[in-house]
Amino acid sequence: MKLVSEFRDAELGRALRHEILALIEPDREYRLMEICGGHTHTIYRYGIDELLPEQVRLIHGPGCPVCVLPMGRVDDAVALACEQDVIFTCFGDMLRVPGSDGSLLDARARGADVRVVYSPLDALALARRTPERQIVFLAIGFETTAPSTALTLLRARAEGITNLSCMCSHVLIEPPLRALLDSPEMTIDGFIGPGHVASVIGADAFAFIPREYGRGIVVSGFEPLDVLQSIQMLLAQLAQGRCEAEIQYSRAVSREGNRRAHDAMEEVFQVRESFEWRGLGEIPLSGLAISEAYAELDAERRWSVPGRRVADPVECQCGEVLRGVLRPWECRVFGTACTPERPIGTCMVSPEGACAAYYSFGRYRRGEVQA
Amino acid sequence: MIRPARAEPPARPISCATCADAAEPMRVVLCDPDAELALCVDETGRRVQVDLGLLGGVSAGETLLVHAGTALTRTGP
Repeated sequence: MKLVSEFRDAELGRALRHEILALIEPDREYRLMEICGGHTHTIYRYGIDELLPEQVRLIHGPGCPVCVLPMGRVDDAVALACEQDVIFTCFGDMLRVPGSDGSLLDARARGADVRVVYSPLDALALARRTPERQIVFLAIGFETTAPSTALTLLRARAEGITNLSCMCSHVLIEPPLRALLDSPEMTIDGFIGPGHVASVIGADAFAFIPREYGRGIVVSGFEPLDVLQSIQMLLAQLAQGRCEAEIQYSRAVSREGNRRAHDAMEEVFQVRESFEWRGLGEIPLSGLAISEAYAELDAERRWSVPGRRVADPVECQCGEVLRGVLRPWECRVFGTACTPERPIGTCMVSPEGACAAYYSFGRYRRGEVQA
Repeated sequence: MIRPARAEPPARPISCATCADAAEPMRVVLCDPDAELALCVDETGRRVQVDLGLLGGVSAGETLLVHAGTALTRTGP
C-alpha cells in the first residue's frame, strides 16, 4: 500500500527540478516563504533547498505553533501543571520549550504530573479513567489542531465529564500572515501555503493574499514532490505575471474546507481580542479562547493563571528567524549556546522549528558558522 | 466495538507528529459508525484508532488525512 512514498520519487523530483530551472530568470532573485513548519521540515529533511538554483531563496515562516508560543505562556502552563491534583497533558514538543523558570519537563522533574498525549482525545480518555484527578490539556496549534480540541470538548460536554479542562493557546493563520505582509521588512515574492490548515479552512481562506497584497500562494502538500511542484507553480505564476491562490495539494484540499470542523470550532471557541506571538508581538484577533458557553471546560477560568509577560532572552533571535529576516544559522547563538539539546529559543525546540530542522539534517557544521 | 492497540508516540519524533500542521494519510481498515471511530493503518503498517467526528459517511478502504487522532478530510487515491 502506497500512501506517501509515491510522492518521494527521485526521477519525478529531477523532472520537476528541470521545470523549475526553465522558469528562472538568471538576474532575478525569488524569495518564497513556506508558511508552515511542516514544509520547513520537509525542505531540510529532503535537501530541497540544495536542489534549487541559487536565485531561489526559501524563507521560513511563522507556522510552527510551538515556536510562536511566547515564554510567558509557557510559564502559565508550568503554573497550571504545578496545581495540586492536576494531571497536565500536552503534545510532546511542548515539554522542552523553555519558560523563564524552566520547562514543563523541569516541572515534571520537580514532581508535577505532566504527561504527553498524541491527541486531545487521549486527555479525555484519561479524564474518564481518572475521575479523582483534574486533567488539563494544553491546546496549541493552528486550525489543523483546533478542530480536534473542539471535538474533544464537545464530547466531554456530551458525556458530562467534569474533570477535564483546556488551556487554550490555539492560534489563527490569517492574522500573522497579514502582520507579515503589512511589515516594512516584507520582501516575499510568493507563499507556499499550509496544506493541512487549508484542508480545514479551505484554500479560499488564502485568497486575500493575491487579492489584497498582490502575492501568489500555492497550497502545498508535505512530501518532497509536493513542495517541489508548489515551487514550480509559484515560479510559473511569477514568470507569467499571474497572482493567484492555487491548490497543489488537491488530494486533500478543497476551496471551501471542512464544514463540520468549522462548525465545531465556532461552537467551542471565541476569538481573543489579542494574542501574543513570539517574534511578532501582540496581534489582534489572532488567538482562540474557550467560549462563554463552554466556560466550565476552560482551565484558565478554573484556576488562577498568572498571565505572565516575559521578554525573550536578549541573545535569542527567534523573532527575526520567524519573520524571515534572519536565516537560522545567522542567529548569534545558533549551534553554539542554542542547540536542540539545550535550546534557548523555541525555533530550536520543535522538530518543525527552522533552527532545529536546519541543525538536525546536516546543513550545519560548526566550523562554517560565521561570526 | 473496535479495541485496537494504540501506538505509543516516539520519544523524539523525527518530525512533529503531534502538533503544528503535521498530518498523515491513513487507510481505513474497520469502521464503527455509532462510536464514530475507525481503525486505520499507515503506509508502514502502524495501526491507530481515529476519531471520525469531523467527517461523515466514512467506510473501510477510504484514505483519510489524520491529525492528532482525528480525521480531517478524505484524500484522493
